[in-house]
Amino acid sequence: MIRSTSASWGAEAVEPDLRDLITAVTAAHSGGGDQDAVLWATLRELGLSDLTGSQARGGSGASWWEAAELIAALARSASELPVGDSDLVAGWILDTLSTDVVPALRVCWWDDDSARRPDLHPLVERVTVLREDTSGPVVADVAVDEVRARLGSGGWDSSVEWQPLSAEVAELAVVRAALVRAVQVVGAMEAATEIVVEHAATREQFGRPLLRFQAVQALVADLAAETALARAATAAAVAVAVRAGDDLEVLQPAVAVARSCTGHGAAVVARSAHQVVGAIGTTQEHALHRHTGAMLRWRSQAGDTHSADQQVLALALAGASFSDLDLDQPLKPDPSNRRKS
Amino acid sequence: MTTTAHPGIDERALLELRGEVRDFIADQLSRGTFTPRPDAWLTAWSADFSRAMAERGWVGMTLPPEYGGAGRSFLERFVVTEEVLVAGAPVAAHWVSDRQAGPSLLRFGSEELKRELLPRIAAGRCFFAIGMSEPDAGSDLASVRTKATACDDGWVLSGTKVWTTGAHRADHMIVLARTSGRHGDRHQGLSQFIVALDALGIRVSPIVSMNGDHHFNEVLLDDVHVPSGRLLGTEGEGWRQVTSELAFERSGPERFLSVALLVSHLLAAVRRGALSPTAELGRLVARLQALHHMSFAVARTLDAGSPADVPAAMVKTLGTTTEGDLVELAALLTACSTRHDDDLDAALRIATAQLPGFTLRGGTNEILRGIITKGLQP
Repeated sequence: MIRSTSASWGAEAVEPDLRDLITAVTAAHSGGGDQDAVLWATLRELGLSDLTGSQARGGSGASWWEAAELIAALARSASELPVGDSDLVAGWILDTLSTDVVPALRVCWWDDDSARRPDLHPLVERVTVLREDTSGPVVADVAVDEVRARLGSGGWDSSVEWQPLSAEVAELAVVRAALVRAVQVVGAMEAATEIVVEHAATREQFGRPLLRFQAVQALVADLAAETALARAATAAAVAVAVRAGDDLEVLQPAVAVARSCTGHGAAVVARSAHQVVGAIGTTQEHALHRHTGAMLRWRSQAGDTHSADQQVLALALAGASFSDLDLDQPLKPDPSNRRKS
Repeated sequence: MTTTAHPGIDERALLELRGEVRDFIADQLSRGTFTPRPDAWLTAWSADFSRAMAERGWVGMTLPPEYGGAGRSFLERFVVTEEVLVAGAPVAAHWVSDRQAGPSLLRFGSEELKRELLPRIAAGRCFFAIGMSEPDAGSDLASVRTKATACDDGWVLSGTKVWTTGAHRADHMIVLARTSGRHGDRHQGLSQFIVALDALGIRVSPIVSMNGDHHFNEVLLDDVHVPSGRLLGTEGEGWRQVTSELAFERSGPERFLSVALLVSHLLAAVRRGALSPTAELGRLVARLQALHHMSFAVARTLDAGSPADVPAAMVKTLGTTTEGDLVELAALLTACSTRHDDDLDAALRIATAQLPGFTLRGGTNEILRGIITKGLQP
């Protein structure tokens, strides 16, 4: 219901058969946790595990549209299986290198001084590690146990083979990871919105459904609108990734906008959703927390909301182009005040 | 940019059109024909500017060529609208005739009415006001009391309309009036009329805004004779006709770009060191960009002839709230700035006075939230 009324996801770009398949598979194994193992095996079997990947890593050569469709569907099913990171970030980095790649569930990890510990889903097999060497960025694709050892001992085993990575690929990987999170947040927002609408339409208090109370209507309308706005911003960023996924200058502003909108929107949706669903929604047994919890976690991974706001401002001040709409207008007919066309 | 994100849309052509509008604006600006100001689509009336736009084919541009229009799509109109809004250009004169009167006439008007009025609308030589609200009917539009009584060769209208923007300057007003049934029959028995504002029995008096500006009017209709050919559409179908066009009114870029000029002012102030960079400005730029995408998506849906009431209402609640946030940020930042900027102060003064209207006009946010929740129900 919500999905049909939100802004386009670019869904028309995805084959209906593939969309149905994605919906069926993710819905059949929703709930995360132990369902993820079956889900991952099924995705692999169906060729959905590396949608945008090269054939070398068992990929299907699809675009960001198809990948976004899958990532959002997984998020709606409350699965934290990092398929997006595996395909669009770690896998993509490896595709830019001319080495053999074994198909695997991967995450990407930046091992620098400020790095947080990697988020290691139990099914992750390999980690694509990036770090800054004296010569520039380097990368190694290692088994997950090597990372655990590194976190324990504080150093890398000397057997790890580091390869040089172009600075541009390293920077793009950050932006791509940020976009994957935005898509996930949108999926979680949509799932939460659906739960809220269902609850408010059916749960009766004082003799009528909650949705008949104007105060509740205001909460529901606003959270649904935030979800639609987040989707519009993220869909626009995905569209940019489809046509210019390797162009940092074009992709970065669009992704920063998406991260700002999804980040702030998630806060509104999480708070209002719990307010509408009431105490029952705060229990472990209820599905709502899986979505609200996930959206708040995801919005603070691979970047964060406050930094996204700052980045949008910095880019705007530098005269970056965010879309075909330019909000930085000449205020006076002074030629030196004119910006790029 | 070889692949298109939206199949069936010529994005290159839209970008070219955008460039043409920017050149036009830059040219007008350099010739000093206008000073950019916030909320100019409601407050800055310039028949000359409207005619200059009409000469380019940008007024009534979606009307078919046989009626003097340019036969362009709603997406092309969207592009032109965005560009004049962010520039703060004086487009109030043709705003209503371009946004509402033209499309309504095209859809519901008789052949005679279309031949008479549409070419003049597209030429920027015929401006409209809308008479819907009444003293006793604010948000509750269906409770209109203005009465139209049939007479030999037409109708006699009597009643009072309020908040009619630009009625003191416009040529015609579209009036929603009761043609049958009684007050309280709600949506039944209402009809739309095209009333010439220089007709006998019309008295226009200003409703002065709190800052002393005059944009709104009260229009008294005292037994105004309206020829039968001026009935717009079908008798008794007025309510359906009005509501069928509301999505266009609600989802347009004027619902989030009214004060976009403040972004340009604030960015310029940060660049010259008069204001410190604050993340909140980044958040608002991001939101405006997202609203641009969302509003464009609604325009696409409407252009394809599909309904979009819920997303249109969402664009308006989100957009007008964001406009308010932007005015608030500008107020907070300029208050603590040690370096004065007369232009920013002037823009902020206008924006502050207009601010309460953002979430009221075209359907209050409270009404819209009701529409959204109703549309979301399973």
